[in-house]
Amino acid sequence: MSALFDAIVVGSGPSGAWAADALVRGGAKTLLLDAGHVAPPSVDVPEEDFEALRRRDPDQRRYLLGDAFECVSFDNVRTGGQVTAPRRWVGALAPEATPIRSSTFRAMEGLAWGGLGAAWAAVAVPFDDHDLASAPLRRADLAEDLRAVCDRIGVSAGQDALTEALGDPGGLMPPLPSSPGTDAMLERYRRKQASLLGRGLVVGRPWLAALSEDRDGRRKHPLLDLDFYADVGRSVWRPPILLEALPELATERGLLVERFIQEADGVLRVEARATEGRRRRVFRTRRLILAAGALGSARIALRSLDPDASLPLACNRLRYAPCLDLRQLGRVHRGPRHSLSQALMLYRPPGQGAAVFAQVHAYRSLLLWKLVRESFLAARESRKLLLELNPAMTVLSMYQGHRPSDGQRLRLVDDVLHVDFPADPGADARAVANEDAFLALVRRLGWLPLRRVQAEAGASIHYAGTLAMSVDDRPLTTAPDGRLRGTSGVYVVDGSVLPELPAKPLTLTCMANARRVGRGVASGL
Amino acid sequence: MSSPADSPLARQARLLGRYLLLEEPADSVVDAYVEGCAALFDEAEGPRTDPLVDLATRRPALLPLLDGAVAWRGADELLRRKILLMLAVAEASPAHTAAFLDGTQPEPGTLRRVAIELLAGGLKAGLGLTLLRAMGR
Repeated sequence: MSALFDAIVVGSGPSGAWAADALVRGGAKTLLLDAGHVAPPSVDVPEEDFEALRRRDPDQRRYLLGDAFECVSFDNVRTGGQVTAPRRWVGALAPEATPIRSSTFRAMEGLAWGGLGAAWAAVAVPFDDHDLASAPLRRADLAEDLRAVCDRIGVSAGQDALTEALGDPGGLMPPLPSSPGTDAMLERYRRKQASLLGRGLVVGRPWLAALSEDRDGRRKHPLLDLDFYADVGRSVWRPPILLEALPELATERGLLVERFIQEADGVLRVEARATEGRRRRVFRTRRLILAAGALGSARIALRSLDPDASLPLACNRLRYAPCLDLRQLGRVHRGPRHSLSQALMLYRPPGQGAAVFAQVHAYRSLLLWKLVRESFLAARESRKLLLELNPAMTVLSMYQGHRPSDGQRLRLVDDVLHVDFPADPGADARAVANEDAFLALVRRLGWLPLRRVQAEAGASIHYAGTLAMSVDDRPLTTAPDGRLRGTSGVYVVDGSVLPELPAKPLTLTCMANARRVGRGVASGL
Repeated sequence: MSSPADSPLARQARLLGRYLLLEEPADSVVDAYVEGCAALFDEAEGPRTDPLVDLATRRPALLPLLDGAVAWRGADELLRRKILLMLAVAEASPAHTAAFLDGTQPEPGTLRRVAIELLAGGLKAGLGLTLLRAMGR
């Protein structure tokens, strides 16, 4: 008979790591089960300034394009397109081990050690009550956990209109420096702040889970501009940083949890299979915490409770808008920099919640040829043209909220997850109107949107809603304490529990909620 | 993988390199292009037959027009993909990095240069589209 654990956590991503932390600190004998795929050793990137590296490293093709040219894509903007060759391992195992079928939705799962958090872009903003309106949860319920998470991961942010709008949870660090072009835009925003705030546009320094000061053995961000390719000095927070600080946590890697079975004595039997080979393992626990992501946790819940059911799926809409600042043309921008978000923009029409959330990226450490690919002019002219425009160019990644329509659901077919994600014309029209209003305000900051690029459905990699938190006692939903209905000891702590996605990245809120649920489970043992 | 310097794909690489970079591409870039063609276009045994690539190879003077036309159309043409692959491997090589990085000094006349490139690109697209129509494409 296998050992009986107080709790088993499934998934080592941001939510799983924080649930495990809360359980272990609460005294629970805890096991973490995960596929736990790790990076092959051959993709190390030298820790040097990116531009210097570009000028001298003969091996750069390996991390810029990939050994098998896997990062040379000619398609439209794809899911995970920002996942560069050194980070491809994060999503490498999933297509084979946990396939997802769909003709309308391109999903990405991470079976990496650290989950999708191993390639997280580090934007860490909290939801407010408006964002949480569809869930029986309020910001105040998460306040203590938000503070603890921010303290631990280290969130750098500005003291500006954005921080005022987002609500300072406490423990924020000073911001990382932004690009000169972004600084100029922020200065223009400050001059017009009253008017733009009145129209709903909030702009500020980015909230990033990246250190601007040394902390807990991690180094402050080295500003080498390598963020798309390497984690230098562990300045950007990743889930393994938290997990490695938990010596009492038992871990088993190389396993995919398939299902749970509730036994008569209140014990849960957890069945897993090896990611390699055919070996199967069985574990026993009093509490099971699902943190395998909105798709992974849904797969386990469907298999265990009702394989014929279907579940809703929410996913943030994502579009890109390259913008030009004519005042920056001909300037030279040199010096230390990072390639994380340079600023954040939040568009909240008066009286409403967030309608558009935009991350500002300076397109300097991704490759110019990818911009040429999007151009409608000959490649030779496009290269020269974009080289001239590059210092004046920024790319807005625009996220919008999503409430699943009736048809946007997932289900198991022959034990494989299928996603139906038909277009929702009404919601699409509202999204375009929001975007138009937002970009009109961006123009007032001196940034001219050149075009809009639609990313395919699923490209935001922000998935939610599958096991939605609700006060109604319906099957395959979760109670406000995170317990999966129809079970006595199974809890869900990842994005699955959010019934809808607001126009904000969900990672920080999920981490805080995972800690909240984990604390509750530990105290109930 | 390396390829004989005079293989059809190596010659194609040099043609595209000279056109895009305005200089002879480094041997390492030519090798990378040949490798990329094998990996991405199933050309391990040599170049596939493609009307536009073949025309550009036979008559290099038409390459700028064909480049302009396939870019304008946003078409999923093998020629467009090959041009982009050459740009990618050149950009990922220290031998040609300078052609893809910003300058180190402010340079006056940016708007003039931008206008020239836009005009040149537009003109080539127009002529190239006429050429494609004449070819029945």
